[in-house]
Amino acid sequence: MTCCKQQDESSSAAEEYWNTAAWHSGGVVCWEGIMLLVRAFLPARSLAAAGLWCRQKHTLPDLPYDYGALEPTINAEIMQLHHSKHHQTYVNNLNVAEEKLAEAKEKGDVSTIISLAPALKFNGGGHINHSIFWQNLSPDGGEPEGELLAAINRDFGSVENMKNQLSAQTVAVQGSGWGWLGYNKQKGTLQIATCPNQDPLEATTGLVPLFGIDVWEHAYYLQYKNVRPDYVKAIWNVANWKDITARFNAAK
Amino acid sequence: MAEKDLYIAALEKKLAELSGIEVDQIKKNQLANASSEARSIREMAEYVEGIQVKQAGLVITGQVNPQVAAMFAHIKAELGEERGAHTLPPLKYDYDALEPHICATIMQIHHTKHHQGYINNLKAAVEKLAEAEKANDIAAMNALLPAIKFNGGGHLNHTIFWTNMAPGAGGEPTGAIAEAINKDFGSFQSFKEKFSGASVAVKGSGWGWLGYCPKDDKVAVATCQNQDPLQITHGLVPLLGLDVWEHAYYLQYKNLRADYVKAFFNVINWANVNERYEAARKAAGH
Repeated sequence: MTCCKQQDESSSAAEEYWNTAAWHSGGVVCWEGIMLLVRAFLPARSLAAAGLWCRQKHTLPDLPYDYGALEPTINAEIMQLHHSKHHQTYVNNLNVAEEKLAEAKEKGDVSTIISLAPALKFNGGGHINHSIFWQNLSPDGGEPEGELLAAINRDFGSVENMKNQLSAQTVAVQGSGWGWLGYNKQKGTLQIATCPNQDPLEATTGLVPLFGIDVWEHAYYLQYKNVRPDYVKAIWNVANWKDITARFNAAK
Repeated sequence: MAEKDLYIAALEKKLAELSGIEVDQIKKNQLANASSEARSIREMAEYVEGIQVKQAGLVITGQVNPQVAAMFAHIKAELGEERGAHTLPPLKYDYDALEPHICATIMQIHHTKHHQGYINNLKAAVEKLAEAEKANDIAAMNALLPAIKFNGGGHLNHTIFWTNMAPGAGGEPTGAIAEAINKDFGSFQSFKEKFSGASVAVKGSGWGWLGYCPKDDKVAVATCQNQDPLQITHGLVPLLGLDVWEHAYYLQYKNLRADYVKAFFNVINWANVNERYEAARKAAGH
């Protein structure tokens, strides 16, 4: 083994990468082996900036629960299609768009860079939104309490009022889109907003996303058919207040 | 200082209440900075004298967006319906007639729930429009445009869609439309690829269209978001539409929109498309 072991202050993650590097290198120093070690110790962003490390591809995050866990509110078939097909497609297409972006940047092809913007917004937004969505839901999400509850009461009068407003605006989305409970950092208040298609909330409105309701038809059609209001009403049963609270605390 | 602020605020509120006038922000700031109360009151009086009355946010001539009337004109041309008198047109075939390409459940829900929903909401929008007209409230009339385009467009688009399909149809067109497709796309295959590609690529909810350009006497592929009506949006007369909202295919094709678009070519009623094309050409004087 000729790769020196830079393990002095190694974390377990670094150790894991070291083991991977060792296997990969077969005991001989190689470029890939060194890069895997480097990756263990340096953040990917700075490596990418230094041009030392190729961009990490986006991947589909795991659901924190089984596909059937949100029944009867959202059935297993929807969850499986939504996660493994729709979200996966956004991830795949985001990676493709980013590849094209990297090529265009290398060539200095500004026209192509600009033309990729819609694809990046659509697929990047789809990836962001769905990643939040899976965490926003839970079979066992609890209720709002503490500071978040106080903020809801302050900004909407009551939890009931907030739910009614968000539900109404979400049902009213024309076509595909999302309803959001967001946090306005400038004003320090909660705020409701809707976005069309996969437009990401924060990039579009500046609001930090706390709780999102996907009202693309694929999110509910197999179970609720055209009756979007029933789906939006039911989704409150699986709202993960623990996650919403964590996002609120992080945003404040 | 505080009394001056209160005075200014009260005056501005009153002005806003009475006339909807937008108060000049720069002047406001200047007054807020005035150092003596007496001077600021005098300046305020001069300022009030010199206020230019300006309606905030309205078109000066107070016009209703012409798209409102255009929407109802197109519905009348297609269905013969007067504004407000909208009903669900029956299909010329049974709900299961397009199987296996589009299943009966989809056809039934699509027709009796979605299309009917657009009609119901269109009629509600028309009622509000009539109230706004009675009150001569141009702003309110224009505020209804999105609802009228969405629901009016939904009613129009689906009406055309049902006629664009038929059992035992599909295949390749004949007649004038076939000639036009060959002329403007090179071949039917080229048109099929373009139309399919565009329809699959619609981001979110929308429609793929084959439309007729009256100015250039050409047929072209175009897409629209949501229920945006083709003619108002792109100036093309709608000949053949493909609904790619997820409700149009999801129960059967799930996320595989491309398979649905492929299957659609088995149900296209080219006779109807041809009829529309010939009528549009004639109306355009060609």
